[in-house]
Amino acid sequence: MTKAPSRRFVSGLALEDWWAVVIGLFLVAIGCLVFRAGMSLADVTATPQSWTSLAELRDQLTGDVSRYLVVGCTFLLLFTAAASGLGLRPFRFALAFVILLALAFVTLLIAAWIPVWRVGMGSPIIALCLGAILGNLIALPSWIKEGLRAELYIKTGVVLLGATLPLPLLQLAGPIAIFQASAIALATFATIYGVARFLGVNRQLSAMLAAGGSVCGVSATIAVAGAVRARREDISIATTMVVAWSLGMIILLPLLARAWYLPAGPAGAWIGSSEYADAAGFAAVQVYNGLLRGAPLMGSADQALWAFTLIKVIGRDMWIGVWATAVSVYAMLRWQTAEGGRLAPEQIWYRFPKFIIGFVVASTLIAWTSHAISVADYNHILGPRLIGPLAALRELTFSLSFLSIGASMRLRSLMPVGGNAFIAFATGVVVNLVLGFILSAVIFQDHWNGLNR
Amino acid sequence: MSAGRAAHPRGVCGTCARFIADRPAIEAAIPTLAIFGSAYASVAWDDGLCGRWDAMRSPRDTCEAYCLDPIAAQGEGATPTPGAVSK
Repeated sequence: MTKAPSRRFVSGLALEDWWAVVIGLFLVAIGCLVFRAGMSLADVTATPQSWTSLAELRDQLTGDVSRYLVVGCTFLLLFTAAASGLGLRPFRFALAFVILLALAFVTLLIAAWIPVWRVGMGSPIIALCLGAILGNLIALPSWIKEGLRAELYIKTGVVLLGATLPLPLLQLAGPIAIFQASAIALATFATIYGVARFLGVNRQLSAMLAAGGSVCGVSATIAVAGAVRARREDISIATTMVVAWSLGMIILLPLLARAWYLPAGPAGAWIGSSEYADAAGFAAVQVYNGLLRGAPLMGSADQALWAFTLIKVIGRDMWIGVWATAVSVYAMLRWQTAEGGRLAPEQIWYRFPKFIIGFVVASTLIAWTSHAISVADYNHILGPRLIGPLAALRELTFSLSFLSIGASMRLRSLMPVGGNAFIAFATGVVVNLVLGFILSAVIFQDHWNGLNR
Repeated sequence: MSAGRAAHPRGVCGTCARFIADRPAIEAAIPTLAIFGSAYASVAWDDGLCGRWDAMRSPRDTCEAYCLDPIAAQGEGATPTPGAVSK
């Protein structure tokens, strides 16, 4: 048992979201201050460079070992503090984290090996596969599980992502992202819920499937599960459905985007509209960016990532609390599910994914640091000396997340789902894909194509 | 950073012996929850798992099966019992 009495987790210190904000903003703030002082985070952080031979790799590692150690120790301290705040056992977490961190560096090094790099297999897919192999084929000791906090790592990565997303872009493209994501979410929610109810699926499971398939994957499923007082078995079915489709979409969406020659902006927006989990979406964008290298496609890797982030984080994640409240109001008025339950509009705030605050603040901090800098200096000085190192730290947190996801994904724990729930969800997937494609690649094509400008 | 709520009064799910608020216990009871999600996330708010109804509940909900005695709660075949899922 961990030390987590019932009232403990209402405190912000026991929420992963706030720890992700603290860790992410700490790194961004340090980066900005160091830059303002005329130095650079690049002096103490390292990113694996592409390599072709073992001799080349050895030279690279020998030269960068001290910088890798600085990054490793900093991450170890920050994330162990977070683990302690969450009520996990810090010593066990630290042990597990050291192993995870070493594996994350290994995945980044593998992804930088030229033959792998040419295939376009980014570090997320490598980390996911490595984690899945370790989690399913090897009996991992129980203390390792203490370090598998995929959401903590991915949320920290999203905060760091804010530092690489220009604030003006957030202001200009945010409203369209919200409009597009909301339109798709409403249509998909209505489709899944309607089909599921028509096929006789119970109301709570229908609502969770609809939220998971339209709003934001497992996070929305969790939020709605609490709002409608869902049964444990139904939660397992809904989360399994979301996990299975999310994994499939990591490969399917980039391949379709590549096959249909979608430019980077619309492809990123489409992935943001149609992927269910943040982590899975980032992996899909990385796969697309890998495919982008050898293809005559228009746009940049940044453009795909920005479009994805705007749709997913600003357009979808931000509204989880609103959806949960709306569903709980509907449940209260129409189903009378929870005996003694009551409406709780305050959940709009309490269920709000707080890491989005960190994401926006990170973008603002970078805007503040770069406000007096010309575009040329931004590209040639700020980029390599501040944005680049923060992007490297982001990639490391994503690798930690994908390793955790792979290792947590025990095939035996997935519920056998099928029948009507599957049909309802699959129908919603089709509606989501088609609508997402029309809005991303047809109606708002120019908008998403113009993100670089 | 605190949600700033008062302790749950007697009679609500939050003080019931069958209410599982422990985050690791919830993740252990629903293993797929932690793959792309987390019981420690904001979105989970302070929901817990009811050992009597085997369903998610708010600590502010009330129920006719309210029970203060942990031993009695375990003896009624609650599924899962707090002890059973928190290992």
